Amino acid sequence: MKNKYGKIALDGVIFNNPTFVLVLGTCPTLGLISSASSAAGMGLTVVVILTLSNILISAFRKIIPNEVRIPAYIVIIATLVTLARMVMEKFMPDLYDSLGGFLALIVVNCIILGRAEAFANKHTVLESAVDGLATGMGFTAALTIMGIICEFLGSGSLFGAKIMDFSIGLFATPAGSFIIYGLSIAVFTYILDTIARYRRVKANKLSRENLLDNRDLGESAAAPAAKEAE
Amino acid sequence: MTVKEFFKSKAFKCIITLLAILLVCGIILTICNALFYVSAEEKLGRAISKIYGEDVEYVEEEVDGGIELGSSQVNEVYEITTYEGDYLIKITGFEGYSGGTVTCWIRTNITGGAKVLKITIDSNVNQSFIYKVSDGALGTLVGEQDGDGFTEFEVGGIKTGASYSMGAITNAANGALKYVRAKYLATASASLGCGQNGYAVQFSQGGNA
Repeated sequence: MKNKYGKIALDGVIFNNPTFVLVLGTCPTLGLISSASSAAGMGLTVVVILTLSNILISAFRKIIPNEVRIPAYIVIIATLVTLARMVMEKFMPDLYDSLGGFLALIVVNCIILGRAEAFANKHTVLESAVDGLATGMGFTAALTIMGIICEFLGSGSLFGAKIMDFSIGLFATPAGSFIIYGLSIAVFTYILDTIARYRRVKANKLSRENLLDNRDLGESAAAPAAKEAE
Repeated sequence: MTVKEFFKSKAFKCIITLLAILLVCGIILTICNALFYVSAEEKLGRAISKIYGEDVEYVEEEVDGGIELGSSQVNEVYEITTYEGDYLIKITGFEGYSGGTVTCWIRTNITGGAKVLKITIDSNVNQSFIYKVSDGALGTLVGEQDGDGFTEFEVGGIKTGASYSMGAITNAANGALKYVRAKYLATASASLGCGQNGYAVQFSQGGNA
C-alpha cells in the first residue's frame, strides 16, 4: 500500500514530470520562468488547483456520465481557478499582478485536464490527491529551477535580490526561456537515462550471478550421481 | 421516445448532471465573490501604498474625464495629506513604441519647486519591451531631471523598443510636472490647452480657474 503511493509520487515528480518528461503546460512555463518568484508562485497555484481538481473529479467520477465528462471537468477546474484568482487578488495582490493572464489560463492547462482524464477518473480519491500533489510539485520544481537559471542569467538576480551587475538580456525573454527549457529537458533526460542504464546493468549483473549460482548448484548436485553411476 | 423514456435516458442524466454541477459552482462562486470582492477604493489604496511603501492618507482631486496635455493625459490626481506638498498623478504618456502608451503613477512634490520623486508603471498599450524598463532605470530617470523637467531618453542616439517606451514615460513625467506647476504653484501662469471634453483648461496665478 505504502509502495503504491510512493510510486505515484515518484512518477509525478520525476519519471512522469509534467514539464521535463511529458512536456505539458509549456505556455505558462515559457511565459513565467524569466522570474523565479513568479515561476514558484505559478507552480504553487497549480499544486493547489491540481490537487483539488483531482480530488473532486475522482470523488464524482461515478456520478458524471462518460459522455459529458470533459465539459464537467472544465466547469470544475474553471470554478477552482476563479476561486484561486479571487483569493489571490484579495490576499496576495503582488503575486496576482505578476502572474497576470497566465492565472486565468490555468483553466486550459494541459497538466490539470490531462491528470483529470488520465488518472483522477480511474483512481480513488486518495490516490488522485497524491497524484495531484506530486505532479504539481514536479511542475513547481521544474519551473522554479528554470526560473532561477533564467533570472540569474537574464537579470543577475535571484528571487528579486540583485546578485551581479552582469546579465544577458536574452534570458529575460521568452526566447531565452525556450533555450533554457530545451537544455533542461536534455539534462533531465540524460539523468533519467543514466539512472535507467545503471538499473539495467545492475539487474543484468544480478541475473547473471543467479544463473551462474544455479549452474554451480546443478553441477555439484550432478557430480556425486555420476560417480555412483560409474 | 416517450416522455417517460426521456426521463430515464442517458441524455437526461447528462443534462441534469451538468446543470447540477453548474448550479453548485455558481452558488460557490457567488458566495466567494461576496467574500473576496476587492473594491476599486481598496485597489487604489493598495496602488498608493505600494508607491509610498506605507499606508498614507489621500484626497482625490477632481479631474473631469482627464486633461490632455499634448503628449500626455492626466487621468487621476491625489493630494497625499501625509506628506506636505505631495501629489500623486496617474498620467498616460503617448508616443511610445509602436504608437502605444504607458500609464504611470508619478509622485510629485511642490515644496521648493515642482519635482518628480518617483515613477511607477501602472499599465501599457503595445509596449512589448516594457519589461526592460526596470525600477532602476526609472530611478535613474528621476535622478536626471533638471529645473525644467526631463529630456528625452536616448541611448547613443538610437531609439529602439524600450527607449520608445521610455520616451512615453518621459512624456508622462513632463506632463505631471506641467500639471502641478500650472495648478498648484502660486508662481505659475500656464495654460494646459484643451481638455478631453473639448473645453480649455486655464490656470492663472493663485490657482485654478
